[in-house]
This record gives sequence, structure tokens and C-alpha cells, in this order.
Amino acid sequence: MVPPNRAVLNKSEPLTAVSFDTSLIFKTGSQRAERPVFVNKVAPCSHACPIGIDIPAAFHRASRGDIDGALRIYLEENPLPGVCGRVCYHPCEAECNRGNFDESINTRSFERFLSDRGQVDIRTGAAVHSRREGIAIIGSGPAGLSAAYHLARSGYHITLFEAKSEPGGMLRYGIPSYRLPRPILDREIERIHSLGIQTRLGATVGKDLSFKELESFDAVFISIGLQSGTTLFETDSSEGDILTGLDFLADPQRWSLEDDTQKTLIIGGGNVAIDAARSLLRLRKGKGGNITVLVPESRDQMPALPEEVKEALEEGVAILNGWAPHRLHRGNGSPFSLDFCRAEVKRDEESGAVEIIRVGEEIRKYTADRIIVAIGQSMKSDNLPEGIEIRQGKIVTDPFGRTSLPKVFAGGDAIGGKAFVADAIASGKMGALSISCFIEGRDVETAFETHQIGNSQTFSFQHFIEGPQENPVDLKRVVSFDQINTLFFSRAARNNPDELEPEARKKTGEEVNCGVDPARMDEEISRCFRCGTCSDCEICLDFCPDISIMRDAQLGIYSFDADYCKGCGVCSVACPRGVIEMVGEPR
Amino acid sequence: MRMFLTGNHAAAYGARLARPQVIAAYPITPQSPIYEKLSEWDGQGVLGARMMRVESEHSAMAACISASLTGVRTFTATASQGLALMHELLHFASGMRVPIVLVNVNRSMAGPWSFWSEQTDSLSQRDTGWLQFYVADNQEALDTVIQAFKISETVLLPTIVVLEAFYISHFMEPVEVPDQRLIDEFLPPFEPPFKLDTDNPASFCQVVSQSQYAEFRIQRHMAMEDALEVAEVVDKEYRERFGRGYGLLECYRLEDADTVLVTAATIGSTARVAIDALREEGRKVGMVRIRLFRPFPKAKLIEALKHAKKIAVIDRNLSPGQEGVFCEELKSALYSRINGIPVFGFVLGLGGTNVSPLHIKKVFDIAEKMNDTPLKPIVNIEDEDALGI
Repeated sequence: MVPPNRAVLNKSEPLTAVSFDTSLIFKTGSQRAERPVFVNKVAPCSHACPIGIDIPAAFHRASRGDIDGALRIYLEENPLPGVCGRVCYHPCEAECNRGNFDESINTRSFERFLSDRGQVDIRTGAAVHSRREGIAIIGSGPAGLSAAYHLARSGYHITLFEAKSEPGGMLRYGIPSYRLPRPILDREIERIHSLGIQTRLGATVGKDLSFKELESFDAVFISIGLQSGTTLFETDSSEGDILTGLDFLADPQRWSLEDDTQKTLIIGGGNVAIDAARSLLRLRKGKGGNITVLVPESRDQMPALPEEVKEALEEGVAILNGWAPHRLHRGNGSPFSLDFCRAEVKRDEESGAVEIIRVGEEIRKYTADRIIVAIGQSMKSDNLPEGIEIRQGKIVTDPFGRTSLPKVFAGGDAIGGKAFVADAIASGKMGALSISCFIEGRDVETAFETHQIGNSQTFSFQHFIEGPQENPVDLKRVVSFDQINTLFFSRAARNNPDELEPEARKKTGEEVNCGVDPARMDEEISRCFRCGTCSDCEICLDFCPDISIMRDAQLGIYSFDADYCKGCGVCSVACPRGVIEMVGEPR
Repeated sequence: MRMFLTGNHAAAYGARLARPQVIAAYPITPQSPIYEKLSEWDGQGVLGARMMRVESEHSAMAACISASLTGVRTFTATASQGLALMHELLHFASGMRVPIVLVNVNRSMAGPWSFWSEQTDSLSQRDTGWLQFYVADNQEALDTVIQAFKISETVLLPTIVVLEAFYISHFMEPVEVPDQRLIDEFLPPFEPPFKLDTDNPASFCQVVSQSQYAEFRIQRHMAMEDALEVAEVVDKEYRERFGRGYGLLECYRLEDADTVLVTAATIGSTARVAIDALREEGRKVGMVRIRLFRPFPKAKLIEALKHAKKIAVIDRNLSPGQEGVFCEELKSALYSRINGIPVFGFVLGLGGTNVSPLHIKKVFDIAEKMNDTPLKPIVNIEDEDALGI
């Protein structure tokens, strides 16, 4: 039935307020006192990374299934993700915001995952040989490879001189293959070489050819590293019963140490000492009864990576902490008798210098057939160019790798600083920046500051190459934990890599760390907060009461509609990752 | 099919037979069994409606309004504090002309806390623009829920069907549950004249001018007036199809009644027993039970009461500082239409206290002894001295 009153009403009139017109005439934006600004920022992991990798951007791409794209982001800053994904000391994980929520993201395993599963032709988008200048790089360790890589991507002609028969420096001759399998290293170096780099192996500059012969190059980068193990005893070790850790690791087969009845003492608490002990264990097919590591530092102070120490102990390596060598005797019967004393170690945080202090009068004697000394490394300076300034056994440079000689730059362990692979790569990157600026007549300090990440020692090479970007990341601002809206995340345990069982791995010498399998890596990728990186989650769109957040479909970036945004700030509060912030409107 | 049901389950059967498409509700004593029964059917896959779990009654009503605007039939149920929490949105619902059907189980309002029957919760919603039915038994609860959909969808206003806490909600009675096919013939699918449609975008309920607002208010009132006639037509049709009808008022033994009791809900069914007994004694008493409270059936009341000499009203509610709401409404309806008849307003049964046939007999006794309409409600029927009789 039609209700009687309704019958007398105009039937075309709606019974309630309905508008088929737009309400866009109400420009509510005039009420706004603050406006939202969408700015991608730096995540604390990227800020902590010596190489300055844009880690959350890579996690974002990987979360969309774009493993190749994620690997490309790593390769924009780091030529050696397969290496770093295995051996890096991962300061990124220590600073990870998720560590304040449950457990930090397993960033190192992620990097390894990308390098093992991604496919990137790094030549795509790189201006290979677009410039005529040539640059000589001396030494093909991580610093030299990094400088070569970034300069080659910038268009320069690179010639890489390597004294040894194979490239890689300490990556090949210092890091054991159970931590860094050689096929991985070869693959990474091959990718760097694909940028058209000339390599001259077995060529020691300063000996096989003179520095004068390098004059035709527009710049020279010296990254010869610290090739010699520091010796401890003034003894004739020509018989090979006292050798350095570096000598041993460079070719473990060479020293006839296979005999597991020979008592072998390793002195030192760094990675070289632990690597030597574990390599020797593998040489002896897992029989570690006569291998002892003598460490001056306490267990907590040991410079070796904690996970390496843990794995060594799992494998049955004996580690004695808090003892330093005191006196060496040639013994009777057994070749050596060593006195060692109680010790403490003081480390100067700035210079890295170590002082070993004897504590008390206690002396212990230890007999050994063989001794491996792994207490430090030094540079062979006899082949360096004439007149280059050297201080305390290191080449003197300014913060940008410039030496006392014109056109000559240096980096890596040869100039001091932290001795990790990532730091060497960072140092090579800095050299590449410095050389680019030198050749192009630009001020390197300005370039560095422009592309510096936060207040860290590193910068974004990709930003340096690309110049101003469509959707710039504010490299100066680091997202803190309190900027993360944790309501959008649920707690989930960190996915750690599988490891071979100690009994198995120490017999075979296979890679200890098996990585994280794809299903669990998917979980790990979804755990990442992606601090400061817009992830198209569109939570801001869902929450905006004025439907005033707009997406540029082509650029994939977001902005707000100034006509209607009332500046309520809900988007900024809702944003899970600190991308949106409110700034005052000019009055 | 004849079933032995609580009033809550009778209401749930009524809702299910009406084939709503969206049900958004929040549990609250004494309404929860309605929600539970519907959820049970949903779990069995026989409900046919989308059950929405919401975080409050406010959200339940918001969800019902939005769903109804898309042109689907919607149902909800609540009680007491829950209805009070919905209050703001009750205005929205009638203002947006959405024909939601809501079962409210009358429960006293806190504080102090109490869970028993009282009408203040629903009567407080008097001016929200919702139709209000007060039912007297479980069968009427089921039938009225079904009728309410048809009335609401005809006049485009929402309806509250009021069951009394425990007296109806939890008491079991034999209830005739109609055949679904017959209900489908009685109640065709909801076809609103306008609805949210993504192919033809529109915005609803925006800011309007003062004069537009006034016009919408008058229109809503006219729809309420229409509802009087529509409710009667629908009830008549229902009686023809199912053999049960209730009218807007229940008139009980009014023929030659000198003293007429006016009341609502279960006090009305109790009063039948008391009146039968008094009639046995030869006393000329009768009753009008008000079933439809909004719109208020003034003309019907005037017609029903035109021969009465005295009127007694029993309210299970009290508007503080005034009197029982039904009494007040009745006086307003009678004023200057039937002059000179004294009206005695009794307030009994607050907080769910029992109103027995003996109480009702006492009410008739007092009314017959008194002459002038008192200025205050009579809240104590035991102390005749205080009443001056």
C-alpha cells in the first residue's frame, strides 16, 4: 500500500537528505593548521650499515616477490652481498627497531638469501665505459673490488692489479671456505668483472712494474691491505713450526699440520685465530684434542665474532681466556715450552690499539709441537710509491682516502680503521667517491655531506650517481622505534639459519651456515617494519576521514589533497613506519 | 508448527522468518538468548543472514543503518543500557528513513544495577522517530516482529518491538510458528525507493539548510501518522492470513464498562484475569491495552474510552517529577475530546516487581472510590488513608 501522506508528497523528492551531486564544493582544507608530509627516511639498520645499504627498500621489494629487485638495491651500494650475507658482523641487526619489539630482523641471512636466489645483470643501467679516464686499483681485496665496482659503474676504465694468482685478497686468503665457499666468492667477483674491469693477476706494483708505469692513469687507488701476520717471537720459524695465522689460512695444506697427535697452540682472540683453529680442526678431520687457542682477552672481550666463537666451542676447540704468552723456550723432546701469564687487555676505542697487561705473578707452562700466532697484521710497505706518508704502519689519508701524493688514494686495511669486510667495502666506496670528485672537479666534502646517511661515516653511492630523485629519501633522518606504530605488527620469532651439526661439519669442511629456507625467509621478510620506507600499505588511505590521500599511480607515491585535508593528523599517527609527519601550515 | 518457546526465541523465530539479510547485534541480558539463537542458526547455516559481530550497540545500530541504506532487510536486538547506547543513532535511523526492526527487551536502567522488567529504556526513546509496539505474550512477540518489517518498509521508518524482561523474554509458552512459505507471501523482499548503489553514487545524510531540515522533520512526522493506518491494514491482513491479529489497542470487555483500566504489555494479560473475576462479581470493568505506543493511536483511544466514567492507568515506568508515561500520553490524547472523566494514574511494577490480579482489583477499588483526577501518580495502593478514601 502507499501510505496516505506519502501520496500527497512530491514523489521525485527523496525522503531523506540524499545528494547525487559532488560534495567537493566544501573545501574543508581551509580548516587545516598542519599538513601531512610523506617523506621516506633512513632506517636504523641502514644507518648502522657501514656500506649504507637501503635495507628496508630491499625488504619491501622482496615482500612483493621481487627478489631480483631487492638484490639490485643491495648491489647499488654493495658489490659483495653473497660475502657480506655470510661473514658480515651485521651492526644493522644490533640497531634494528624490531629488536625493541621482539627480536631483530635476520638481515644478514636476508642478504645471503637475495644473493643466492636473485639474478641481476648489474650492467643494466650502468654507464659502463662512458668516460675516457682510467683508474688503477692496486689490490683486489674487498676495498679494491668495491672501489673498482663503483668507479666502473660510474663509467671509468678500471685496471685492477693483484699480486696473488687469484683475486679476492683476504676474502680468498683469509676467510676459510666453511664460512665463505669459494664458488660464492668467484660468482661475486665475476659479477664485478662483468663491468668491463681489466685485471692483472700476479702483478705486484712497485716490484713487477713500477709506480711510474701507472702515470698514464688519471688516479690510483691503493688497497693492498695488511698482508703480513705480526710475529711474536724472535725465533727462526723457517722450519714452519711457528707460523702466522695468515700464512696458515692462505694455504692450510702447505704446513704439514694434519697430524692430530701434534700439540698445536694458537695465540690470539680475533677472527684469524678462531678461523685458524677451526681450519686446523677440519684439516685433522674433526680431531681437535691437540688444538688449543690461547686468548689474552676475556671471553666477552674477544674481538672475534661471537657466533664464530660459539661454533668453535661447539666443535670442541679449547679456548683459554685471560692468558698471554710470556716466554718461549726450546724444549727437550717437545719442540717448545711456553710460559704464559695471567693477562688483561685494554683497548683504545678510537685508535683500536691494544695493550696487554700482565696481572699477578702466576705462570703456567705449556708444551707445543707447533705454534700459530694470530695477534695482528701489518702492511708490507716496501713496494709503496716514494714519498707517500706512512704513520704507525698505515698509509696516512684524510677521511676521503686522499694520500699525501697527488692522484693517489688509498683505502681498506692499509689505511687503518675497522678491519671487517664491510668496513673495507665502505672504504673502497669512499675512495670511489673521492676519485670521481677529483676527476670531475667536484668538492668531495660537499658530495659526501649531500649523500651522507644520517650522521654516519657512510653515504649512498646510488644517490650520488642518480642525483636528485623523484621521491627522495631524507637521508639525514633516522626513524626511531617510537615512530613505529607497533599496533600494526604482531609478535613473531626471528627466523635463524639452520646449521650443520658440529660433528658433521668439522669432518667435512662444508659451509656451516645453511641459510634460511624460502618459507621461513618469507616469514622473516614479513617481520620487517620497513622503517621509514613507504610500503604502499595504504593504511593512511583507510584511516583518512576526508578521503584526501592520493596515490600517483605512475610514480607509486602518495600525497595529500590540499583542498580537503583538514590536517587532523590521523594518517601520521596511523602510519606504521614513520613515513608521514605533520608540519605546520604557514600562517 | 506449534512450539514451546520463550519470548526471546519466539522473537528470534519471527526475525528468521522475515528473512533479514544483515543482523548486527551485541549481547546483553535479558536479550542475549535472541542473539544466541540467531548465532546458532547462523552456525548451522540455516539463517540466511550475515551476522555481524560488533563492539557495541552503538556500532550495531550504525551497521544496521548502513546495511539498510544498501537496500537490505536488517534486524537487531538489545535491552536497557544497550538501547541507551544506541540512542544517538536511533535518531539517525529514523532521520535516514531506514526500516530497521529492533527487538528491545524492557529492562530497568541502572543505577543501581537491576535486570528486571521496566519500560523506561524504550519510553526514553519516545522522540527518536521509531515506531514502538508493546506486546503481551510470546505469540504476539513473534507475530509483531513479522508485522513490524512490513509496516516499517511501507512507511520507511524503523520499529522497536518491546518484550518485557523475563515475563516474556524467559517465560515459555506454546507458540504457533508460521510456515515460511506463507510468511514469504505476506512479506515480499524489501525494495526501497532509493539506496546506496556504487553504480549510481550518492551521499546520504549531509548537512542541509534550515528549511530543508524542517521539511524532512515534517515529512518524518507525516510518515508516523501514516503508520497508524498502515499498522492497522497490515495487522488486518495478518489476521486474514494467519488467524491472529491484535489491533493497535486491545479492548477487553469494554461493553458497558464504567471503570476502564488502560495499561500496556503483560500487565494487560494479567488484567484480563482480574477483570473476568470482577465481572463475575457484577462489577462493570474493562480494559484497553495500548499495543502501539508510537505513533500514539489517539483516535482509537478516544473511540474506545468515550463511554467510560472513570479511567485507571497502570504504568510500569515513572517519569520523575511527572507521572507514568502512558498516563500522561493518554491524558494528552483525551484533553478537550472527552472532558470530565477522572483519570487515575498508578505506577506499579517498577524494577520488575510483580503486578498480580489482586493488585489490579485493588486499582479498580481505588478508582471506584475516588472522584477527582489526582495531581500526582498513585505509587502506594495499600494505604487508602493517604489517598483520602
